[in-house]
Order: sequence, then structure tokens, then C-alpha cells
Amino acid sequence: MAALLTVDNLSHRYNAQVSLSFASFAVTSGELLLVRGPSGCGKSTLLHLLGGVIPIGSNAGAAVIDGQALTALTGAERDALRPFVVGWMPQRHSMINSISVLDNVLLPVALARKVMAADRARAVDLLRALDIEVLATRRPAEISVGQSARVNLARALVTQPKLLLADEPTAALDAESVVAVASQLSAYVHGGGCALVASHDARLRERLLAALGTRMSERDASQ
Amino acid sequence: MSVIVRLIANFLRERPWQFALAVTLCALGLASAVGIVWLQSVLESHARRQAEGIDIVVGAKGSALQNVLTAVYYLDVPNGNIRLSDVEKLRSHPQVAQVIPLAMGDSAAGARIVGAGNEFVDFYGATVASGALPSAPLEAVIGASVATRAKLKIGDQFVGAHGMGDGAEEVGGHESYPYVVTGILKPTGRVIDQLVVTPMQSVWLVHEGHTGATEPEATFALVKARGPVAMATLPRFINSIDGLQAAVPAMESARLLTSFDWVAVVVKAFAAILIFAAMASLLGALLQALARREPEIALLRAMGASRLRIASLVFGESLLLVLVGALLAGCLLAAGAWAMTTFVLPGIGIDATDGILLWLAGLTVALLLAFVATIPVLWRSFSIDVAAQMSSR
Repeated sequence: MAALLTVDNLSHRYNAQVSLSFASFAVTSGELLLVRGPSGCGKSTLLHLLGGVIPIGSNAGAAVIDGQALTALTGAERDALRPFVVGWMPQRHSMINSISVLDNVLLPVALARKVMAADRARAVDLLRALDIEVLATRRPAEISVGQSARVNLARALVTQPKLLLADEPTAALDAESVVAVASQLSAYVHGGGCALVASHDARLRERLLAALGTRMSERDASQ
Repeated sequence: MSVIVRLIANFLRERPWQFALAVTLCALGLASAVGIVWLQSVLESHARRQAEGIDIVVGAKGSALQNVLTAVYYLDVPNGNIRLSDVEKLRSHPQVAQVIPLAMGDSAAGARIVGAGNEFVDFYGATVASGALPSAPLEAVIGASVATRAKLKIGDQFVGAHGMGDGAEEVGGHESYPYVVTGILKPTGRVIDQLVVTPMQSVWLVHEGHTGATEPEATFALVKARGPVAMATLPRFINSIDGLQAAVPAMESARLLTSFDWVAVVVKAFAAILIFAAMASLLGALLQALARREPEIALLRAMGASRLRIASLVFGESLLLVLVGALLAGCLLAAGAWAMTTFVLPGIGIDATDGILLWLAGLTVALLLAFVATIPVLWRSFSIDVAAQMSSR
């Protein structure tokens, strides 16, 4: 099967002193790649480059998502990849406080087009699968950090993206939340999704390995 | 409801007082600027309307402007009287189309009493709403505003007070000559609404022995000339008659308005400063709000919102504030127009279409200024580091 995501000799220079080089790899649909490495090794930067929020510099390698070379895309075209091709679960579990949890989950859809009944049903299904359905009508300020992480994962998956980028999805979460997040990530991959997860959480690694087996691979972020 | 609209609504709800201040400043600035231009246009058109049909005012020698202010607008006192025989000379002049002699000197219930033939009523296009025009001395027909203000009705009697305007004496020794109201005129929007009209003989009768004049006198004569050539030559002819002075209302009004031009400039400048202050306040409020909302905007960008979407959010917020301010300004202007026609200048003709057009022009300028004021906010919102905002905990 052709790779959904291919990364080839990618690098990023923040300034004269800080420069990062990433390992080359390819991931296909129905697979999960766990990107490991200590803090500061560039896991988040790699996801930002692939998510299109940081442009890939000239002569800084190549990344192809679903047949589209990121280096050939304009900023607007990279923005357009989110959220239907690339679903992004950022490290910071931020939400818009003035709208409900359910509306936060539906935000990527609402920004792109009119929210349909099917979108709403999918969002509720995701909240149910993550065991936070009861929070749907609450405001973000009324839920815990672990619950916020689960809401963020639901938001990244509500558009049924081809590729999911999850940045430290279980950092500082309780065991129950880790189980819920791992379970949903596994379900997404079993359903044909392609996931790139940056994490150094051993609990998450164990859960994913148990659930995905050979569908999961691991790699250090930097070369 | 669109998520952008909901975000705008929530954004405005978060800091109501800050935005209320920006809206209030915007409303005051816009209402002042539009109100001043409108008021100027209303007063100019009102002044023109009062002088309509009066080509030349003939009065006693003195200030020409004073003669116009008294005979056309009833705002001043006359320089003196003129001989009726001189007025008759004018009537027979071939370049004169119409002459209406007026006799003044008294007032009643704050309204000036004008001694004139019924042609004076016709001249202003006034018609009787009830009763009849006077046909004998000491009968009077009253303007619509006078009837309302003084609560006078047909058959009522009143006594004239010596003098005119605010300086009129309460009791002027005319108690022996009460006037009787024979008719009330329909409103015309012209100065006759504010007057009491009686035959000239009434004024002579009331002032018999007071003036020391040896022959009948008038205070003014309103002259309508036969064409533009007559307009150019008649004043010279009038001024050549001993004791007469010609004043052209159009020229005197223009001179008066020109002398007040600097006031309009100062007030317009003040209104412009108010509008700019409003826009500065709007910019400050938006920038301050943006600083707090950086994570929210970064999140929208991370979720795929294009720069155009972010621009619609930022512009939507600022333009909504200006629109609310403009609506408030519209209410203030409507209230101002109502107060003006009710209390300040009753009967003044205010053209609402003019006001709406000026308001729309003001709104356009305010929207353009708001657009410009929002550009720095937009610039900052575009330069938010999405990656940094989404990474830091």
C-alpha cells in the first residue's frame, strides 16, 4: 500500500544556534507511528511542520501527505489541509471558553462548512467513545485537564481525517484518561486512519502496543 | 448561527463596558459631525425659505442687516419708520411687481404684531384654518404657533405690549385697545406662523399720538421686483429717496452666514476630533482584547481557519461596534431634530431625507475609519505564532 505520509530528510532551523534534523520515514493508512524522544528533541516541531503551521524551508527536506508535497503548497493550501486531511491534536489542550464542549468538538467543521446532523452525531459518538458524553453541554472551564485532552482528541477526529497528528496526547493525564485516549487512537487506526503520535509517555506506549501490535511502529524524532 | 457570528457576540459580551465606551464615543462623534452639517443645512434652507419672494426690504436708514433681520426673520428691532407716501412712490414704479407695507412696534404673548393688509397673509401662502381674516382695525388673525403657544381661540381678546421680542414691556399702555382674534392660520413652516397679523390701521390707532409723525407711517415695505434687471437698479432708486434704505435679504443673509463660517469650522473640527478619538478608543479596545485572545485565534488557525476567516472575525467585531454606534447616533439625531422642531424652532422645516443621507455619509466615513483602525489589529492577529501558542502549556 502507498504511504499516506512520507518524510524525507526533513530539517528545521529556528535560528543560527538551534537547528533540528528529523529521521526519514513513511506511514500508511491503518498504521500508527509513535515518535519518541526527550523534551526539546523536536517532536512538536516535526508535527508543526507536517501540520502546516510552520512552513518547510527551502533545502530543508520534503514531506508528502496524501500525495501532496508540503513544500509545493502555499500557506493557504497548507491551512486547507486542516482539518479534513490532517487532524491535529495540539500539545496545548486549548478550547474556546465561550462555547460548549460539543461546539468545541465541532469547531473544525463549523469553520469549514455548515455543521450537518451527521457531524453532530459523529461528535456525540466520539464523546461517548471517550466516556465524556455527559460533558457535551458544559463549558471548557468546567472540565478537568484529562477531560480536556479527550475533548481535544474528539475534535481532531470529528472530521475523519486521513492523518492524525497527536502531540503529547496524554502528558500529565491520569490513568483513566490515558486508557480512553489510547483506546480511541487504536480505534481510529483500526478503522483505517493513519496516526503520528509524539509522546514519551510509557503508559500510552504500552496501551497502544497491546491494542495495535504490528500496526504500530516507533521511531526517534531526530536523526 | 455561524461560529464566527457566535464568537463575535461572545467577544462583545466579555467586556461590555470597554466596548460600550467605544460605541458611545463613536455615536457622539458621528452624531456631532452629522448634526452640525445637517443643522447648518437646515438653518440655511430655513433662512432661504423665510426670504422667499422678498427681493428687497425697504426700511429706515441705518443697518441694512438689521432691517433684514427685523422685516424678514423678526429677530431684531427696526431702525425707524418710513413715510407711507414714499412707499406709494415705490408702488407706482414700473420695475416693482408688488409692495407690502408693514407696521410694527408691539408684541403679544411673545409674538410680534404686524400691521399689514391681507395680501401679507397671501404673500406667505397662508390660509385660514378657522375663523376669518381681519376686516376692521383691532381684529387680528394669528399664526398657528402663536395659537398653540398662547392658547388663543377665535373671539379671544388680548392686549399688545409695547416693544418686540424679549424686551417687550408687560404692560405698554395699550390696554384701551384690545385686539380680538378673528382667525387662526394653518401652519406654513414660514415666519407667519409666529406672527399676529392685523390691519395697519390697528397699529396707527394704538400708537396714535405716540410717534409724533405728521403723516401715516410704515416700518418696512417688502418689495418684489420685476426681474433681475429691476433687482439691480431698484436699490439705487430706493436709496435715492430721502429716509429710505434698500436691503437685499439674499445678500445680507449670505454676509451674516459667512461671518459665522469660522464657528462651523471649529465645531466640525471638534466633531472630527471626536470621531478620531472614537476610532482610537476602538483600536485600543480591539488591541487589548486581541492580546487576551491570542490563544483563541491561534486555535482557530490550528483548526483550519483561513486568514480570511480571521479577518472576517476581527473586521466583523470592529464594524459591528461602529454600526451600533451609528444606530445610536441616528437615534440621537432623530431626538435632536424632534427637540429642535418642538422646542427651539417650532415650524422649522426639517428634511428627514437630508438627515438620512448625511447620516449614511457619516456612517460610510466611520466604517472606512474603523476599517483603517482595524488594520493594525488584523496585522497582529496574522502574526500570532500558532505553533508556539499550541505548544506551551
